[in-house]
Amino acid sequence: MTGLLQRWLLALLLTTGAVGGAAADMRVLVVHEDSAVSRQVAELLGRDLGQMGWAVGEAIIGGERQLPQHQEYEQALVALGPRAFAVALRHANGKPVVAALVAQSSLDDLVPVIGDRWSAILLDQPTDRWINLIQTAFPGTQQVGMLVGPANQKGARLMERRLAERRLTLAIEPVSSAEEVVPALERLTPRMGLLLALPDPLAHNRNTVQPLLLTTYRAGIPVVAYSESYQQAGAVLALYSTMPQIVAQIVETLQQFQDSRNPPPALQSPRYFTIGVNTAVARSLGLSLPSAGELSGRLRNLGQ
Amino acid sequence: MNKRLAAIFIAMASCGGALAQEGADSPDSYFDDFPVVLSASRLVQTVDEAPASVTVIDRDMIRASGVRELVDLFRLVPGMVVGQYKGQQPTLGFFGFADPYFRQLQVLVDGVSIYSPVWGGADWNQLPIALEDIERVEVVRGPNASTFGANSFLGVVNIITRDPAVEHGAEVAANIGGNGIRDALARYVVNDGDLRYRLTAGQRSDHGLDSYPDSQRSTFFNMRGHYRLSTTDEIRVQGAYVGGNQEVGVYATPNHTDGPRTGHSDAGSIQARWTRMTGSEDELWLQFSHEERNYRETLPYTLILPAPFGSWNYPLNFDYEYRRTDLELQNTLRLANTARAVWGVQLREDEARSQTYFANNDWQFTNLYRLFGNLEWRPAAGWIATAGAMLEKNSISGTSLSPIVAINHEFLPGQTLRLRAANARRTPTLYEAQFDWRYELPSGLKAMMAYMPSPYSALAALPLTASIRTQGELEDERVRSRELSYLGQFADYHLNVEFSLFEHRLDKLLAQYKYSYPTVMASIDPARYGTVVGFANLDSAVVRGQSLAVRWLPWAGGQIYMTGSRETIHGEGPDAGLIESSGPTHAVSVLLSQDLPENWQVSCGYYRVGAMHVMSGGDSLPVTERVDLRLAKRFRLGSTSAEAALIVQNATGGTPVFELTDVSRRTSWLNIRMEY
Repeated sequence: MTGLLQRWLLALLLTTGAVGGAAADMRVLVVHEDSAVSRQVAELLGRDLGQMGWAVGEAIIGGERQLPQHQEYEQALVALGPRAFAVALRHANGKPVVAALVAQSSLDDLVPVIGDRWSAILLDQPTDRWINLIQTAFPGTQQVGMLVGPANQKGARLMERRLAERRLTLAIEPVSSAEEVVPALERLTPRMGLLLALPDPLAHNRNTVQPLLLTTYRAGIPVVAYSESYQQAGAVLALYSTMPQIVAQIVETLQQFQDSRNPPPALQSPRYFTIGVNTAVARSLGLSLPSAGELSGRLRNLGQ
Repeated sequence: MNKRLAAIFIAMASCGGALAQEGADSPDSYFDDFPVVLSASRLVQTVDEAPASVTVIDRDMIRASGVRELVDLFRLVPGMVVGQYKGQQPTLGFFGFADPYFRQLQVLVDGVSIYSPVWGGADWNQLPIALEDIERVEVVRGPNASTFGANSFLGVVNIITRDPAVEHGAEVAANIGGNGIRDALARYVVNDGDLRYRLTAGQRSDHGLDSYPDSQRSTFFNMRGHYRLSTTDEIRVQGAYVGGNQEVGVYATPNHTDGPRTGHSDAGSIQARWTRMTGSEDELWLQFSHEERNYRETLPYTLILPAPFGSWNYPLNFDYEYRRTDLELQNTLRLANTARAVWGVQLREDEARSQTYFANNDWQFTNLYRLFGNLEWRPAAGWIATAGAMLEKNSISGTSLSPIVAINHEFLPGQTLRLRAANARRTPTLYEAQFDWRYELPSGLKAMMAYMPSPYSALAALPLTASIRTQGELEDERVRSRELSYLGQFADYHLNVEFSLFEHRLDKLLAQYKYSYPTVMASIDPARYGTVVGFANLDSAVVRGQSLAVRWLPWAGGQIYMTGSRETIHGEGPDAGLIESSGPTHAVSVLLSQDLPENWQVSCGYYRVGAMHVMSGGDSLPVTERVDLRLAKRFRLGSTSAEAALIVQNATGGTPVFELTDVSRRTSWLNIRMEY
């Protein structure tokens, strides 16, 4: 999706939200961790909520994991990041909490609590959305490969099951250090038609992306990845949610809490997403891919 | 919220902070800034979209071919013929013009030209890289000066070495076999965060051909290092050294002017490139490179003159050295959804000196300035139009413009036609344009002659003898090329086919001529020593032909690569006959490889070249056939991955390679490789 389109969509959502009866004196406290990503999302959120006439307070949590002293005037909390989520829940006292920038794996061990006043917008794109993307962009591909670090084995097993239901096979190679990436890829190469790169701090980081992209490129294997940066680095396709898209979903969730008839679910997948195509790499690999706009449209038609 | 569950969740999420640092749940994982990896200079244009015919020889083909010398890979390039002249100096020909000093080919290693400013061509037996360092070799068939500049005349060889990012650990290898083959190699790769580098050291030696004293031994070293400055910026530094001894000359009677002696060479190079990559199609790089080459060769010789001059100890010296310094800027950018461009500028200075070849020991300077641009436009689906030009000014032959236009049309999925026209030039080398190859009188003899009566006293002012000396200015050689190609990809059959019809019109080709030149020896024996050789733009030629290349993966683990070419050469000028026979009427090559159970691999190369005649003194050679075999087995020694391979070249017997008596005979060796 183009940046312009995103901005129009966001503007439309915000306008709809404001007109839809949001109280002009709604007060929100944004709790976030002291990271660049959290700060940027907090800034975007503050700006958008401010434009809607909402009052926004900000609390940055440090190592102590306590909410800093502040005047507790807020009616709802937004937590950015898993630690901020934990702190916000501790201090919520029954106020609604909307969490974002949290991955499924940080919540996996929690028994879902239905009906409580919190909702977490996950970073993870739904498994079926990945599979739809793969089957739409690479209809002839039967074998998917993945590098999996210790933190992601559960997610990989889920992906394997879902792929099998859709008649695709998943070849998995475990990695426990950056040095193992190239040998693992060499073992995977004969068993995969594309490499699916899902977030994994051991398999996909600044140091492994170079050997990973060069090795797969040399073998003629396209990489489907989880971030815009990965796509610019050389992945053929990427599926991700941009910060404005995440912010749009936070705003919508806050509005849902305001409307007690329609409470949001506890766990939400990203509602808005972007597909990026690296046309230069695709062309060099001899791939003929639909455009990013076409792929987005087809995935939306598939209910994603 | 259920307080107990909430407490559990809060406790887990709180201690999840530590997990978040190392786990996949850190939001930063989703927004990490990655460095751009597959940028313009690393991307390979697919064969059906390239504006030229390109043969890509990848690592699998290199390994399957079993070659020990890089030039032997060129047997797999349609239109190219490879022979051997005195040991490891190959003879090469591309669309004819086979010659030990084949100058119509630009050669680059990682984007830096190794085309010799003194002799032209590349010094193939003095490459400072191992085959194991090579990622792929791209051979552009036909002129491509709009990208690579002058001397990209009948083709371009682009040798691309491996990025250390795709390697790890250490590797040692050795070749041991007949004909004195004793090669050793050690490579070491480090990937450490923002820094990655490769170190290679090796040694090569063999005994060459039986018919010449041409044993050689060389030692080489190279390094390639990258340092990532940011997600968009990277510095690459490469360095190389190669040095060694090689026997030269011929087996001859004592005190022969081409008697056996040993040449010593040393060559070192360094290059540094800063690259800014802001996307796969937006790249800017600035590159500095410097190369120095020093060659020393002396033949003990006694100058025996008729009375009253007597005999003089007169060692013949063939020393020379040259330096090249080069600065180049290149920018690749996307202009619009349907258009992208690459442009660049280049400044180069070459310096060479040789007392023997230039009649003094002063540095001879030549300069080169280049400005080039190429535009690719995709006006509609399935259509690609490419246009480009190189504007070049050099201190030998002045200013020139080399344009190219190409249109690729995919008329059915996987079926492409390409029409291409390109012009290119070749700048005369120092050998052709500026040599003043002569030998001065021994100082004692000169003094003696000065005191002798006329006519002897007049001889004191003359050189003893002279060999090469061009009169007047030379112009660039020119080529105008037209080509129509069909490229078919049959994905269901794992089959790629490329067929081309081509015509190369060459003009102002340099030809040797002889003219009278006064020397002492000319006065003594005018019939034998009375003339010297000069060069002039006297010849022209038209080469027409067809080429075919087929790559097929017929079944699991099997690969077939086959090429064929036919060509006719029509020459005009004093060397017309020589030119017309300088290429074969046909050539065929087939490379088969098959992976077998238990990690065995077998491969076979078959090369057939029609009758031809190598220029610069070769004999008329009959049709030659050559078969190379390789049998390899991969295995593990503890944690070490190893491979042993037996290679037999010329398995069916020897073939003549230059003169009929120069036979490249059957040679076998064992290749052992271990990776740690």
